[in-house]
Amino acid sequence: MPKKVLVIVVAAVVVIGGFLLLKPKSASPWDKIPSYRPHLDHASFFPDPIASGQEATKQCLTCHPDSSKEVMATAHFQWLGDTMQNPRTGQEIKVGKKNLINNFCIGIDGNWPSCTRCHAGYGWSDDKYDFDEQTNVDCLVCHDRTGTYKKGPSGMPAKDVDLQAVAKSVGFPRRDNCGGCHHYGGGGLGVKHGDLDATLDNPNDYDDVHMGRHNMLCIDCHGGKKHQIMGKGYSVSVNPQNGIACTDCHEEKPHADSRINDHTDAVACQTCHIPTFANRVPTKMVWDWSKAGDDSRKDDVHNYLKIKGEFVYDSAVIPAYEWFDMTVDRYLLGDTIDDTKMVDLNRPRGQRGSPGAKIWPFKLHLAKQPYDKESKMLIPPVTAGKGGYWHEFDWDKAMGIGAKLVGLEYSGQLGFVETRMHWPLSHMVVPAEQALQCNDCHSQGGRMDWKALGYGADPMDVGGRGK
Amino acid sequence: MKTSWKLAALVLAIQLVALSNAQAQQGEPPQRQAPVNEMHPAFYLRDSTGAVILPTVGEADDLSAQELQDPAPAPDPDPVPVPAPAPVSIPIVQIDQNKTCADCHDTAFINSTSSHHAKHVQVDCLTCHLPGGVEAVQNHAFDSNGKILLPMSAPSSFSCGSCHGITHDLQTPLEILPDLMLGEMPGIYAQTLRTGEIYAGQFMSSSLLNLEGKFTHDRPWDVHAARGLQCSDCHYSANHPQKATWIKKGPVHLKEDPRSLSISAYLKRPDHELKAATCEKCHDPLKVHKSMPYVERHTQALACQACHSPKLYAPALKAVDRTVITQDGGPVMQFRGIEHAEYKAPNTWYSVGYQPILGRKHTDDGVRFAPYNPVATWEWVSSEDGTPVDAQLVRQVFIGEDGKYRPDIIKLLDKDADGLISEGELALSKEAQLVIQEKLSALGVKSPQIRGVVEAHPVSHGIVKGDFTAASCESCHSQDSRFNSPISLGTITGPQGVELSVAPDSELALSGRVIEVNDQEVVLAGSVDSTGTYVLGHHRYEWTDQLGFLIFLASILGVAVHGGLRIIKRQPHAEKPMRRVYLYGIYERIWHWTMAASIIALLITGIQIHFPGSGSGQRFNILVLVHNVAAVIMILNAALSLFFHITTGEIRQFVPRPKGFVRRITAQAMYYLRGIFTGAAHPLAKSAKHKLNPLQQVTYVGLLNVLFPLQVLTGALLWIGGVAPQVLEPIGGLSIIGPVHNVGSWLFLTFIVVHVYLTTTGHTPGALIKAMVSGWEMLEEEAE
Repeated sequence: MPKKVLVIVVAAVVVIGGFLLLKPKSASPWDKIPSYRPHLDHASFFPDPIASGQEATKQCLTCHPDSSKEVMATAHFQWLGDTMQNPRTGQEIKVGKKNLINNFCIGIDGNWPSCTRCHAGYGWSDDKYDFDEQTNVDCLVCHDRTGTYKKGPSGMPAKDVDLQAVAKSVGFPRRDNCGGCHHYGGGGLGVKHGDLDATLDNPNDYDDVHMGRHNMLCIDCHGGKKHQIMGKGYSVSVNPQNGIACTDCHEEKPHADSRINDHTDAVACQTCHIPTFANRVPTKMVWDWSKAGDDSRKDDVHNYLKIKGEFVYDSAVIPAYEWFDMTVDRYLLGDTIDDTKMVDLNRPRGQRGSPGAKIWPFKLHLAKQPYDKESKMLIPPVTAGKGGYWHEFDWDKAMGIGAKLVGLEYSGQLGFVETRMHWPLSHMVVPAEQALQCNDCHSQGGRMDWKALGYGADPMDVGGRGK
Repeated sequence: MKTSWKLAALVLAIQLVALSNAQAQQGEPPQRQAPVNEMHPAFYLRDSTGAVILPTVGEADDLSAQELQDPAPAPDPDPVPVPAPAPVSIPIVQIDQNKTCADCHDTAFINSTSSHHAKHVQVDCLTCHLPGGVEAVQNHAFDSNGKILLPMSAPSSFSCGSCHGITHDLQTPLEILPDLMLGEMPGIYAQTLRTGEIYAGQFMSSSLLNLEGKFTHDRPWDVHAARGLQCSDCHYSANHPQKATWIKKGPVHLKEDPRSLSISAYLKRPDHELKAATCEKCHDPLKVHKSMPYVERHTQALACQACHSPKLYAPALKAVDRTVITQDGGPVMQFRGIEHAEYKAPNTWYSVGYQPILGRKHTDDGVRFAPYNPVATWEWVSSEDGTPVDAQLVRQVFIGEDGKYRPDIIKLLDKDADGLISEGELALSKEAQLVIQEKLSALGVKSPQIRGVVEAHPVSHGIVKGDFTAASCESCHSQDSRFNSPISLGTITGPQGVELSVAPDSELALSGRVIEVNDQEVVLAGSVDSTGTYVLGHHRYEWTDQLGFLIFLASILGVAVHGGLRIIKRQPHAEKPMRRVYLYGIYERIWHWTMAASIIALLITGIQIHFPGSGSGQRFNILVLVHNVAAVIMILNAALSLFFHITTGEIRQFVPRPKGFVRRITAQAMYYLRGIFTGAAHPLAKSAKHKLNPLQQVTYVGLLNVLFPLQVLTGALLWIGGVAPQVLEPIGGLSIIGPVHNVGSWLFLTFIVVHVYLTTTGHTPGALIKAMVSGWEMLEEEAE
């Protein structure tokens, strides 16, 4: 009798346990978050003082012989990323910071030493830079864990940095490593992106739910192998290759309410989950180069600088919303513009109904920037570099040198044209409870311009999907 | 006369809205006018004779409206071509809206059905149907035919809010202006003053109000507003054809009745008796509430708002004395959930929110508990028809043309003769009442009198999503349950000699509650009467607990005395030859210990359910779940065991043998009373055939045939009361079953105490327990 009872008990346990085990496990976003082994303490590998950045890199390479080659292949070093066909010439070209212009400081040519402070390498000070020299790779800027590493002109380590201490400290990149450049793009805190600034070094729940509430690192999402960091900045990218998406970790339709899930066919996650950007640190929204050079105005970083012109900063900004299929029409040097209209430097492609297009949130950056009235081309003027506008306040000279460096002609006919850049937002994601609610968009005075988005009226009233 | 004052008050309220809007928009780019509603055609404006009103070019003649109006923005590029008009003005006062709208709509029918067009309230068409009201006509242009295209629409929430309570948009942070102190009803704060409700989709944390834990309130003031619903979505025209298709009642074989009103007929004669849709019109409570136990019972007994309007944060009235007027021009008011209200700026008041009380409410499906805000109100009424005296008239009595107290009022109320009326002096003595009464009579009020009532205002808005509800079971299922919590009615003393009574239409809501006046404060005491309602964990009858506890105590005492005596006497058992007998088979032992474990689990969880907050602090719903699971295990175990006992014939063990029963039971009893102390031998030999002595047999017959079935039955009924509450209605719900089950559990507890004690009476104290574990017991050698 006892044996029979035992058999019954065992059978029951097996059956119930089987049910529990076979129950499908719901996929958790946490499954995709990498875990890191403790980083090897490198302190003992650097017994002697290190004289220069290149010297440090040389020592790194003794144990990590392939690392420099890996980094040198990436956009962080090349400042060239996506390959695209130049619609004008039909040529396949690589584009990136190196050869594109924006409507902030415009272009790097002639201004290398100050721009390349953020180059993941050493010594890029002119157009003759050796991109094949392995010791030119800057390992420390990403791997420093002392928080003391700083880069100076041409990306050289700042004079007062104790390179030995920095080298001893190396580890996986944390938020402040990435933020050292990406939080300060455009020459100052929060200037460029709007969704990236130093609040993300130590964010609270509401600054960014991933980095704040969950204390995630940049590299948790921006992973990649062999130093090839994933992620796209559409100011310098033109396609989504090697990009990352919310759906890499989250389900396509993760909401409990099917009405919200229906939105994900037409609306990017970011649209609802990033209600505003630049929440605590203001970001630059407008830059008017044409006002530069006015001695009578007082300099003030957030309103007017003689060298740069007039600015408008804003914080807690409501994004602009447009359809976006993850590709952009990029303005390339040499393209002619219609100077009677607003010139888009990276207009997002896609419209209502086009494949892959969703409504995305953007930071729009407007500028008045110099161009050649005769050739109708945008010219990157030399600013910080030799003979640059910041030193001599001579537009013609600055434009002339700049045009020559990029292989264009400058006619001497200076003009200022309104330009616009679209910066799609993906950071400063708020907790779900702070995301947009129905009436943020679907109400009188809501934040969507339905007509501009291709709807007759609010799709809640007239029906949007399934047509 | 009275109506004109009403209208004046209304106009004032509208003006205040316009003014506050104007203030809110200062410094912002001029906003676009509300978009034109292309669905509504252009029409002629008509005056009271039916003649068409055409715009006059030049000076406006209606200055009062003009002054308050923003400079009219340029007319929209309308779909209808509009010849650019010269600055025009429209003689607004001449517009007869009944005549104007009667071109297409049956205004006589509309007025006859409209609750907004009754004796005391007369709201005209444009107030509700034109954003901005009749003055907004100024912002729109006439076409070449002399018709005007106005953005007529179903009333927006903002239109409703201008008389009924706070509604708000997303663009400007919500604030409450000092004109709250006017206490206007109707007015832009009316419903907000009654209950603290705000119908707005804006997050509470985005408002300008000073809320406790403000940034934790990341939820809208009302979730329906945040979901894009307007007031008119639930408060709709009674014959609205779109809503009529929802009508549930009717021939059961029909899903929809095609013979509903046609759109055109509806637009001609829309019934303006507005409905108030119940939550069930759109929501099916049984399909959600997955995590709530006994959802049927909960939805039968509770209105949705009981949980979904858990706490309100806007200043709701606690007490209001409308018989006097403060220097601010309003009544004397005290607010709920407000701490530190030093300044006359409601935005700065520190609001901790308040939990409305639960009162009874008639619904389509019977009486349910719904949240209410009780307000102590003193007001002047005309004793002729019982209608409240217009606040404007009372104001006129107190406040002069210069906006200050009239000298005779100061003389009347200024007790300390400092020339000022301080807060404490604003209460009417008997003499003062006579004076004011006279003055009101002089103003045309017929036999004014003071009435002091406690009104219970139902809370229907301020709805929150599930995650923000009063989700903890203990908020109701506990000693200090919301059902019985007393609530303060403030410290206003009110007019001398006027007793507060429950207002007639609030009697159901406040049934069982009593108004208690302390020296300091008026309190609405908790409802002791809860006829037909037995809230587990909250309701209990003292006597069942007392009786049960007495029985339990008696058993403990008996055990203590008996055991104590045994220890003192400590006589060894008479040595008899012993033999080891296999007495309890494996199944017997399993069922015994299963029974023991399940009953102990039932007792432990039962006690915690009965006295929430006692014990381990487990969540109420988990305790109920464990209790139910243990009960099922116990019942299954009992059934299997019964099967075992019947099929093996072991049941005979429990049946007393009649022969010599009295002798044997006496012997056993005498043994427990005497022999056990002297070390006497057990009077009746135990054997595999006779495991139970007659005392045990009697006990088990009672336990297994009376107590056990009773407890199972009442327990099952308690459970049925949760999942199918209508079954219990004929026998009065849980109010009888609950106490019976409770007494039963006390008896079970008593049984366990005695049972466990008696297991120590074997030849050694632990012997019998060991036997029930191993199956082997040492029995005395004696041939039976």
